[in-house]
Amino acid sequence: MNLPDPDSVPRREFCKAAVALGGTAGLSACLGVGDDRDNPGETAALSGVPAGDPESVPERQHAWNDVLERDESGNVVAPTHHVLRYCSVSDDLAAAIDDGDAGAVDDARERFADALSDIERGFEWSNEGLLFTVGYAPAYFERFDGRSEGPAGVDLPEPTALTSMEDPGFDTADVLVHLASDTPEAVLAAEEALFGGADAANGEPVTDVTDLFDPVDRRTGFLGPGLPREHRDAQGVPDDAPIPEEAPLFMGFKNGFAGSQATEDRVTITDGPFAGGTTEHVSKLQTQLNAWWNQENHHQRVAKLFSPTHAAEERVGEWGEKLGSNPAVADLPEDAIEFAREEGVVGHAQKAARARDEDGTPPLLRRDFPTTDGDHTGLHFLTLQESIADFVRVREAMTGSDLADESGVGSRLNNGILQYVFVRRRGNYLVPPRTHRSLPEPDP
Amino acid sequence: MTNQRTDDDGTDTSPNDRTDTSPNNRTDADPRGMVEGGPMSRRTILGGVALGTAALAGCADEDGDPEDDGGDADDDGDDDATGEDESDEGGAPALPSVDDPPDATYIPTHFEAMRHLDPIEAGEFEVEPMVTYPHRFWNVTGREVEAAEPSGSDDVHLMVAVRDPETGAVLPAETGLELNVGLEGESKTPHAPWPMISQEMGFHVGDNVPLGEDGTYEIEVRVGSIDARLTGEFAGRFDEAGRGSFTFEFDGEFRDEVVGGIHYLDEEHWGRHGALANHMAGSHGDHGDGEHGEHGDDDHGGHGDDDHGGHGDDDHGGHGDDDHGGHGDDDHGHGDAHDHRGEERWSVGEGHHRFGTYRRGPDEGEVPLPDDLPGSLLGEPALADAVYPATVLDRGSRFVDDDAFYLAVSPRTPYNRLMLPMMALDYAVERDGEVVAEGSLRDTLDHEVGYHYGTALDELETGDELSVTVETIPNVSRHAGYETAFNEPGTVSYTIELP
Repeated sequence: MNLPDPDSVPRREFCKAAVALGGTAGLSACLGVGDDRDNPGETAALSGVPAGDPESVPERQHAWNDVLERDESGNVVAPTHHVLRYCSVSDDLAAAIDDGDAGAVDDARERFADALSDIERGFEWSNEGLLFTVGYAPAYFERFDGRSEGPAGVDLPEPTALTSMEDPGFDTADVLVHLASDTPEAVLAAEEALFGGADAANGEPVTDVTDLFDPVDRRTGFLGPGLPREHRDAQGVPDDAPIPEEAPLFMGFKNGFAGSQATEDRVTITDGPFAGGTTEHVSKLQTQLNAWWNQENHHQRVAKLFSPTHAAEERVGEWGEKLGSNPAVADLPEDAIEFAREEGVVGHAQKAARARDEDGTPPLLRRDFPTTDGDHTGLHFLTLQESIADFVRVREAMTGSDLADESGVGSRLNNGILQYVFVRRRGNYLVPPRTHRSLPEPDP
Repeated sequence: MTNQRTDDDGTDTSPNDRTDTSPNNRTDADPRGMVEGGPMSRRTILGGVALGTAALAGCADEDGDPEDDGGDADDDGDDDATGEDESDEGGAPALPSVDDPPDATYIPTHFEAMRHLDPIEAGEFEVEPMVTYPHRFWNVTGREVEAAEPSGSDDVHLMVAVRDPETGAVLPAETGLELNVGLEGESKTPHAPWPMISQEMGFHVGDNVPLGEDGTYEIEVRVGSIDARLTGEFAGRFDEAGRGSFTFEFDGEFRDEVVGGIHYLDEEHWGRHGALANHMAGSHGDHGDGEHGEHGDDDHGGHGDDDHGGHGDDDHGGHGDDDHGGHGDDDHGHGDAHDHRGEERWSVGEGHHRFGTYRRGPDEGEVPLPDDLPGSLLGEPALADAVYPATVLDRGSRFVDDDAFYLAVSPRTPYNRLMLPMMALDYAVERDGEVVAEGSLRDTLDHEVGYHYGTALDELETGDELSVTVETIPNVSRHAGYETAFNEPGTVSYTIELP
């Protein structure tokens, strides 16, 4: 990957590219210094990035909403820059766990806990500083003796294919760290301190844990108005797609409506040793929006993303601005099959709403973000939910195979946006409460 | 250079003249292109075609559609042809289209040319790839029919037909079908192509696709599954995704072939009720390496001008002898002199460049002739130019688990008998003015009945009135000639006659 010429592209676009590149080169580029391993820039205090205090960080790792801003409609504004780091525990640590070498495992656990606290000291727990979660795969818990049933009290199955339309690869790396910030340097500096060669971040020394983990994958993305439009040169979207400036998604609309998001309470595990934690599902989705932009009109796009009713009543506006904080799918007919037979098309949001709780509460807290990893448009579809079963339930409703079976709606065609989305990988993780976020035992 | 065949009239460049190294290319080309074969640049070719189009459009001053239903207020009889050409950017040639076509299946302005690649295996499926120039088609979203114009970045119209290798049957296998497209050895971009019907190709999936630079492109195909209920010999099959890949050479020669190979019809036929021959039909049974043989060679006997001069002599007249190909398809006797609209059958041309309303033979459709459906045929009413044969099978047939009757409704395009998937149909049975049964029909794929919509019925008596209501029109995309047909919801009626 090459970075664009910083003088020829907007600062934000350059930083997005720097985050995608990562490493010392990305960080140095972001800081405007040379790519020089000895340059103190990558560990020094970052201009304008507030330091933090571990004492003030909430017990729930996923408690981000309180410190994030709201837009004028009251929707949470997600951080702009995102990195997902997938790591295996190192061979030495794996052997220690396998051998039941409590001393070595405890040492590793303490060091990683220290490192995470160091990061919290380096960065304010906010969109200007850094927000992050540390999650663990079912495969991680299986490393511990006698734990084929997974972490105590948590529904955390191995990932599976969820429809006949996909044959995804499965993310089984032990650890997934999600780093997010509006400040690209913060994401990169924290990443370098945890997994790279830096021994400090934002001027704060960070305990070395590089011997504990082996990198498996690194995924990046961004969420902000105008960013998709700026990145239309990627594969999977026409270079001249009329994506509105305000739209944070390549499909040309906004998301994250408060009315369709679960609260952090709803997704929090309530019982057992991991109470206060949550489960995390990440799908790696590729998107192909050639036909979306070249062959569908706005009416069709609204019908497929929201519902035909939204299209007919012009509820959405150009990019979702008319929806405020609520996509207003709750008032649509309950009998989606009958609706599908009459309309011949069902909307994505409309389908997903079928899986809401009985009282109308959405079960998933979406923290997904678009990407151009691999120079191809896509979405890292990250959701938090109390149990993975919640995700599967919503996904089944979204798949709409009942609709395809019993109406003229196809498995993909006119079935929400399924025609445009390709599932490439899936992974399930447990995000423990902060107390147990460092290399937890299955039943701590 | 094992398998290259060219469906042309013999004046194309011989395989030896080609630089194409792809071993498996065959082109349905016709020499009456605007551009003769040869190493021309893409720009030159497109320019040439645009010129040709202008010439064609320029002489479009005559109503070529004498059988238009006349219901269109603006059908003033002088604008059947149009200069409303498709974009000539990005590899899409400018092509004439029929202006104000009837709300029915109609004859478009030309036969497409395309490169057929060798079929490949993808698990339990056989995949037949076809590639041509980007062109306009129509998508159906609910009740809305919207033209999909090729964009400036589209380079090809990429299609695959999925078949059962055992029976040769075309399968509506759109579920989870992906085409991952990119230069050989490089990263791919996925496409979920549209399920489509075309007079010339039948049911297939396809889309206009951007490629980029010339080169060898590799398309990785994933065929998923079939949503329809599977019965008969299809029961229990096709439940596992299959994968395969094919390559094709995207270069000037390809564009030359497919653009130059377009076969224009005489303008007087444009917009007439009727359909082009389906050249993908007839491959049942003799599938494999000899497939398409019957149209691959039987129509190139030096009659390249078959429908350009003096065609007036073989249509409208002896429609009784419309089986030039010797398909023996006229032996269904009764009423064959007229089509479903009550119009006299006619036929022009030969082989796979034949077109008209002539009766297609048993092997020339994707679904059986009504008379060949099992059970008691209740009738074959038409609605919005689709034909709806319905049949009742006696109690305890293989379609039902118990002792019920089975009702099969088999909507199809007229003439070519293509399946019409992605509809929603409801039914009601009335006896003495009371509804005794009602519900929705389930899309079903059977080796004998083909694609149809069916249900088990416990109670049924001769004399019951059956109505079948189209709730959702076929949401399958359309090539030219089908976009104005089948688009009205409505109800067709039958009187039950038990077998």
